[in-house]
Amino acid sequence: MAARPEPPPSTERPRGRPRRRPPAALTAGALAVLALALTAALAPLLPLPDPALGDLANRLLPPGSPGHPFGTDGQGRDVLSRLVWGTQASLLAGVVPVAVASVLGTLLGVVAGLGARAVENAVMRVLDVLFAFPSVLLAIAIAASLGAGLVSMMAALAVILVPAVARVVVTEVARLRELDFMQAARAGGAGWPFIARWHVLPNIMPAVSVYCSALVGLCVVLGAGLSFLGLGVAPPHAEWGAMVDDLRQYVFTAPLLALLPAAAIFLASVSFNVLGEGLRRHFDVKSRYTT
Amino acid sequence: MTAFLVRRLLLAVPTVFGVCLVVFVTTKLVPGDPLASLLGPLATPAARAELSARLGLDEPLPVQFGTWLWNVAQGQLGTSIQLQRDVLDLVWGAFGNTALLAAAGALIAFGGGLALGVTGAFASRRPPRWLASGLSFLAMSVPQYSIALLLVVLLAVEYPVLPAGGMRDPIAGGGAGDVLRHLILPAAAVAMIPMGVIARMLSAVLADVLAGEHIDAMRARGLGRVSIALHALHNALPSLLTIAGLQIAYLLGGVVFVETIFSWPGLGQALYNAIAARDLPLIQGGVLVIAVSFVLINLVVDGAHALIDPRVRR
Repeated sequence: MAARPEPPPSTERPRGRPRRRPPAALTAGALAVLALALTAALAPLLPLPDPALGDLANRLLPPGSPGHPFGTDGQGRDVLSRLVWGTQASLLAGVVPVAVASVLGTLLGVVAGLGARAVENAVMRVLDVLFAFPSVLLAIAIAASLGAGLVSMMAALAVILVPAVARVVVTEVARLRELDFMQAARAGGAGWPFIARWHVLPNIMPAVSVYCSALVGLCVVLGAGLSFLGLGVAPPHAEWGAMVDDLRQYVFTAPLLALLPAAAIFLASVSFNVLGEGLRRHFDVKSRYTT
Repeated sequence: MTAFLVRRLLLAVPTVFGVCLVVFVTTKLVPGDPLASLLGPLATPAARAELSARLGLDEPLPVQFGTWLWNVAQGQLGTSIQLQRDVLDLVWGAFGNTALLAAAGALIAFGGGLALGVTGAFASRRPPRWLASGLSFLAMSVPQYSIALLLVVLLAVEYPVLPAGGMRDPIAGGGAGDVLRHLILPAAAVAMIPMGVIARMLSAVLADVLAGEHIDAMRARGLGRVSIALHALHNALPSLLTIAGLQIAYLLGGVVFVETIFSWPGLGQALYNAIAARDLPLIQGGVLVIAVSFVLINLVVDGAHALIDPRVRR
């Protein structure tokens, strides 16, 4: 048998499978989120005034004042500096709970989806109860009990996100369960940990990670909301939601000031949502055609 | 239909029970020693034991839960620490105002979502389609407190056409027209996220329906655009109802922020004040009442779903 000729080594991409161009939403969202992350990381290096240092002689300066491009708040603290430093808390509040919830929710969902019918029923009933709460209210109840602070706020957010992730995972696993390769694996004597690791996880990963990325924007909004209510980051630290709550008392004297942190939260939420939408279009072939 | 309703009602019982359990568990999450905070650190063991027995804290947790549940079933939600008034009285007084705000918000969310979703799915030109889907994406992403502040600054401070807060004008007000004027801005703010989500989901559902063969058949028979659109909307109605039912959660969550910013005298504002005062009985009473009413609303939505879609009744 004649040996097949080796294809010449090539730096070109293989033909016939053109690389999908990433959707514009993915690029735009990724750039926006990168900008946010850089702002948060570089906050200590930027030449900004101390975000916690008040100056009562210069309180409530309007945006555009010399030395304070975004003005100052009720205690004379520089609003631009507080917005930049506040990026850290908002990103943490958005990303950490989703990361925790995606691991716990996936574990719970896979166990429920592959386990006995009784296990699945038990897990689903518990999820139903947690879904009976509007998520903000459950977060309020938990965070209020745990006490104010960034950690208890993130814990409360993670708790309310776990059922959402778990439900998506259970649905995805149920879709897989009856497929031929799963039955073949079971017939071949594979135990459920093996099936979960090598057959289920790789197949549910795209859907679950796209869903989780869509949760980050929501989580940023909820986290800032909890701080707005006084349940998140404590006041002296710079955090957008707490800034909104602080500055809204001056809405008649300095109406623009309160809008700045409100707009920052909105921009962060839009950035993450655009990124999530881009990921969804990039991975989910079906919705590439319907959207 | 009756059998479906009875079954659905029975299913709601364990859910309400679970909601109560979760709220009870959060009361037990509170860090620190409740006896020490009531009696101070120097209390004698005898005084501690006496108070512990009086509050039922020496009982095992399931017994404590049973007692608490029994009290809740009788309407005893405890006493507000800050206001020293019965929690049920406080919550009940605020409940009606929140229901009014939520209903107005639901109306705007549903109407706006329908308009945007239909435009996004049926408009024959690209610009209106893009505008509709862009607007619903932005509406979906905007935090309730951000849009509420923007509305206050724009329409109550810079161009004062509507009141910035409250429910009734203290001097001239009190009539239905006055309440309506105060209602417009908060209702619009609380409706924003649900409106965006409803519009996006409706567009997607309608796109699925429009790809169906029965739509091709209608087109082949020469039906006009409008009657095809009406047929497609009829097909999309059950999904629309399910989506709208889920959005009520956002609506009820959003009232906390919106009522706070607009000083609307409802449950949300009561919760905000209770959080500021660390008034746990009032927080838990408010959360419990909102969560239970959410379960009941979902019951109604499911009933309506069964009414318009016979497949659900089985």
